[in-house]
Amino acid sequence: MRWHTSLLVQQAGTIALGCLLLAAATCAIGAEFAGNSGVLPLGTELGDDVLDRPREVFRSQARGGRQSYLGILGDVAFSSPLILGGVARQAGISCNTCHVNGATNPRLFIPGLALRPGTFDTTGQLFNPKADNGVLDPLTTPSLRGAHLLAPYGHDGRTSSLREFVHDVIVNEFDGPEPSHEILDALVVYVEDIDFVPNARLTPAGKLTGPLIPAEKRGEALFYRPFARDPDLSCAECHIPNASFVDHRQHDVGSGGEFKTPTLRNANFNAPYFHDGRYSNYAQVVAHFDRVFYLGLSARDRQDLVAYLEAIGDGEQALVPDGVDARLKEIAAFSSVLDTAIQEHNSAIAALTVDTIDRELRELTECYPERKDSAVMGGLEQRAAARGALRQLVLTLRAIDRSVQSALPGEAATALARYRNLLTAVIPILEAAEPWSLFNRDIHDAHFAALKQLYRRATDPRSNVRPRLDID
Amino acid sequence: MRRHSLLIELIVAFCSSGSLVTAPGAVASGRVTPLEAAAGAFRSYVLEEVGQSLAAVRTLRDRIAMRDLEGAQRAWLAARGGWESSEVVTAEYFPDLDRAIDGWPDTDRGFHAIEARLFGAHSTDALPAADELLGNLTEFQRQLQGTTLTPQHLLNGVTRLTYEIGEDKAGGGESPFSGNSLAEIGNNVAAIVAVYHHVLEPAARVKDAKLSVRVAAELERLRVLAAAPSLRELDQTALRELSETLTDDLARLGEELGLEKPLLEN
Repeated sequence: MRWHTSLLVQQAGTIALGCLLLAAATCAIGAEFAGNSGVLPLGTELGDDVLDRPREVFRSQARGGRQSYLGILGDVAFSSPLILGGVARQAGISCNTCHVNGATNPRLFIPGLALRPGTFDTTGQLFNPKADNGVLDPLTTPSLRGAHLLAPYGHDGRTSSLREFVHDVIVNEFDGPEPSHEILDALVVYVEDIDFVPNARLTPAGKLTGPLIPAEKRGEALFYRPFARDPDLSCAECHIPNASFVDHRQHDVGSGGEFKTPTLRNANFNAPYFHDGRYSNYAQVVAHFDRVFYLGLSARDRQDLVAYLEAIGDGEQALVPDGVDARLKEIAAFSSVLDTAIQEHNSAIAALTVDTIDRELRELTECYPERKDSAVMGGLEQRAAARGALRQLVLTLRAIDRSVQSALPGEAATALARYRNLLTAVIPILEAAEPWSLFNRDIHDAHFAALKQLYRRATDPRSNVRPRLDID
Repeated sequence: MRRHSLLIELIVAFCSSGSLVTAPGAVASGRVTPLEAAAGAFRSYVLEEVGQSLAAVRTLRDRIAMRDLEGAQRAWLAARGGWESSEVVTAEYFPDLDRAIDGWPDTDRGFHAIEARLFGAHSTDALPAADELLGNLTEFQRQLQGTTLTPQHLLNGVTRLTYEIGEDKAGGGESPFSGNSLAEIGNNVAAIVAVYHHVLEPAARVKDAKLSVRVAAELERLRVLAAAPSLRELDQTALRELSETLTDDLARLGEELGLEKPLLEN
């Protein structure tokens, strides 16, 4: 049984088809496995095997408070494929698949819906045939960091209401059922709570502070300098230096239409750039503006602007290592929704929450390679203990849902308490097995190298190298 | 044939052990309980499945040697049926052979290494792997013949397999190159149903009739869900929920039968 083709799977559900991208890349166009019966096209890459994940910073927590019930519920819904429709739901895709921890997913690639990683055609055939505009026009997945400062929404800025935009994504882009008011409210609260990752070098007014290297200083001056042919324009005219570096308006910058000004905050982590992801770095972006607006920049000017953009687009620990601790914190937070759901006899919210946690726990289980994983040798006992404990936890969790759906709140509360106790009890087991988990880079690399090798063997007759890792 | 020989073994077992449910003291007195007898008799079911798989692997090996791709593919698919039906005991009793025969991701050993070559690369360049698979499966059969199956190990095996049926298959499942994953789930379900009906249910009906009826109904729902026409049409959310509920109920039923809480991983 089991076995996702890559980690999270899962996952996705998590699915994990990272290796399939390789398979697709190494075989001739049109070549296809005889049995490609997955839900997503062959060659799909969800990037769910990435070890460093975007750090979540919440405005509520930055103010010294806690995430609200609605905010956590929004996070649950954001991570649930069940709020979306047909193919997305079947493939285990949620909002979080593309906006990982509210940021972006630069490795996301679904053949037929993208021309390059990090982009996605929201009006394609796959997820909602009714929304298909017949044109392959993929867009980048925008980071939601600082979303409360970034209206209007959509690359084209078509709506000023985040709520309306979220509704459109669920119902039209992903063919989901009409969301309840509570779920919509929760999603909006969650998204508006996602903050930029702090950048200590930037003042609230959007000025660089602290010691600057000469290139950054010169770049800042260039950023404010009026364009030679259009003195009314400058970079700073649209990317207004403030908390968000936007002007909330749409412009035609020679990229094929009017698109809203993107934020430059944390932009170092938002590549590829422009609405369609045509540029993979700042140098290409600067070159575009130089060319389209006849800026007449020298090579050094361009480098200086890049240095400035890198300084203002930075963020502290924007990416953090994935691990047991981070996963369990999220699971514990999600679990808190169940207290309210049980108390309020809200079976729909309880079912959604149990399903989301269930997926997270199953995904975490797959982070501990099973005995049959031929690429990992050590820690058999520890891995088995971790997998067994997590599976038991899943069953305990399922009992909560059964009680809620049977309208037995007392039993549900007891089951929740049992689940919480077990969750606490499994922590040392999971930590003890972590050195042999996919959170360990060596184990991770060995597992995925073997996986890629297997897929290569499925396409390349000459490949015969077998990676193996022995760690005791 | 399989059902016939299993039936004979069960009749012999019951005749020699008396009533369906035996007091716990019976074990201490050295008598074989009906439950234990039924578990022991279940070996014939697994042996037949393994025998079927082994015969197909012999064909697979020959077809590969003859560079007959289509014949080898057919034999590979045939071999998987018996193997997947035997999964109720493989991980429990023979973890090392299980890893050698069905490891993942293994590039040059076992069913999936061969699957990748036959169905992915459309190549019969897999003779060493086929030879090794034949040897390992033969050894598996030999060891199984000398193994006494116990109720506890079978309970562990079915609960584990039932849980794993609920795992995500959006990426193509266990056998993505051949597209055989859904059929293999069907083989798993058939084996779980067989363990339940032949080993656990007779005793469970006496101990907790209500629970035994519920488990039987859940197994039927599992069978229906797993019979989806394709992975794309498989209701994975419902399958996962049901697999967890059923795993829990099977564990509870084991408790009623005086067995220990099943290990969901070993």
